[in-house]
Amino acid sequence: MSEEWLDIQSFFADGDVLSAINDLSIAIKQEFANIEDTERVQRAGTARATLRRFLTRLGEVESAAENEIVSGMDPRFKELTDAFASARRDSANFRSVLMRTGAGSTLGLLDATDPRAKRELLHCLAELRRIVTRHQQTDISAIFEDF
Amino acid sequence: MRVHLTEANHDLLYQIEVVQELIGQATVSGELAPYRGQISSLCAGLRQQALRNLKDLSYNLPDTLNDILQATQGLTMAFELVNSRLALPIVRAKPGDRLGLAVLRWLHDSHSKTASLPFGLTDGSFAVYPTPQVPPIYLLPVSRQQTLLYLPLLFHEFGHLLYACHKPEMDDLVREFQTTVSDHFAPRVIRDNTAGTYDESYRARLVTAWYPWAQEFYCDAVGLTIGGPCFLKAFSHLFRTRSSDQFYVPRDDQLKRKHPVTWLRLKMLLDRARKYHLNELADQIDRAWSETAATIGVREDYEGTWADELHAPLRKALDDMLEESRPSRFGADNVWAADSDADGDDPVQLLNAAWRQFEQEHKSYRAWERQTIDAFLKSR
Repeated sequence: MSEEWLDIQSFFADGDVLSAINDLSIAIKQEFANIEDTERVQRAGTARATLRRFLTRLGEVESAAENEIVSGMDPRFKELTDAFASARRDSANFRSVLMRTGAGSTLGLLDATDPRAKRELLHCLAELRRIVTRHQQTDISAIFEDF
Repeated sequence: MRVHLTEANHDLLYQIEVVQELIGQATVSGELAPYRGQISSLCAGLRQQALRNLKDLSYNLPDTLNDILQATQGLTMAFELVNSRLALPIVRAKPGDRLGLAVLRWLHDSHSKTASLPFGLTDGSFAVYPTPQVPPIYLLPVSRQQTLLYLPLLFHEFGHLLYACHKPEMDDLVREFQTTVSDHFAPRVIRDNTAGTYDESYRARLVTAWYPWAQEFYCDAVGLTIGGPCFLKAFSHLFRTRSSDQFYVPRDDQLKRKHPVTWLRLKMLLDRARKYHLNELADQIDRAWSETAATIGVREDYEGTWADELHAPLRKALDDMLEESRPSRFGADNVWAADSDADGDDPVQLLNAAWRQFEQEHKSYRAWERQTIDAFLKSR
């Protein structure tokens, strides 16, 4: 009968997305530097799958207007989708393809082989990370409020 | 920056090793062994991440420093969660945990989806952390762990785990009920051509609030379904005289909470109790709450977050959720069995017998309870 469990669930969910962003971002940069690392390549594959699931879900919610009543969804995830929508409107600070065209149309970039597209993917990942990190801070504050 | 990150990851490696050592040295009962295995694996994963960060740092690519910093921060927070929450059931394990662990073992074994899930028990207010990433941890206040009367509240917490195990289907059922709530509170003023006077954002907040509230109603229903009278009595005793906000909460405060007003939860429980033919007990508890409310000077008022018309749809949603998740169901044999006929191995029988004994023999209850707990644990 505690309220903390939703924060912990949300903390882990955000953590999975952030780990995937970090893994994929590092893998692409190491690839650009011609570093061969088998474990990195494997992690990048897992990260792509995690991000594909996340972006697909985000794209589904995105199609609804921000103030539309969304049901059957954890309110914490709804807050994340609202933060994403808000960032998309903030074109002065968020300029990647992800922000300009939305989650659904960014899915193709995950498997890009062209270096230019990969650089754009890095830009998308960096901006997505800013949003998810800020969202996870709320969970962290709730879980570790004594810090 | 590279040096700082290297130091931070070495420190994390050291801290993780210390926790691994503590976990390995702890003496735990058989019920807790699978949980220890799972947390040990989790620590091994954290250790791998620290080593991975150090390897990435060894490539000396300035472009990756921010990524590695982020990965280090993520690892730090995950480790803090292990260190402050997840390792506790193992490191603080004591012989007195066995009663709660034995009831939880029986509870997990009672359902095919939970039988193979490890679980932990630790100190705290009644709660569970049912996350897909780590084994569930149940929290119980210390005196409630060593005694029988409030253990039925674990059945409610188990409901959260059942919800997590059936999440897609349960979310669909909750969504249907949220739609009913949304429709019910839709602005009729549009028809009267006075649009704009209704606070549409309030309706959105209310519908959103019903997502966790519906889960709590479901978990209460699971508790009653598994435990029968003992759950209803424990629930009522825990909350009835606790504080005035069990009866009334201002609207804005309600919307911020993950739990609906307790009095409304009780009303739904009493409705289900009557459905389970526990009419006499339901009437008694209903009267007790009404008398308490009258003494406090509170009238039933949910400030527009509830309407009686929602009662039947909520009851149906809860029936459907129970049908979907199928918790075990108490029966006359384990509720009304005479103490002499009691099956020493059945926690539901044990906990119902405890409440009967407590109500009949306050003075001798503690001695009876000690003896009964010993017999129960010996039978396991």
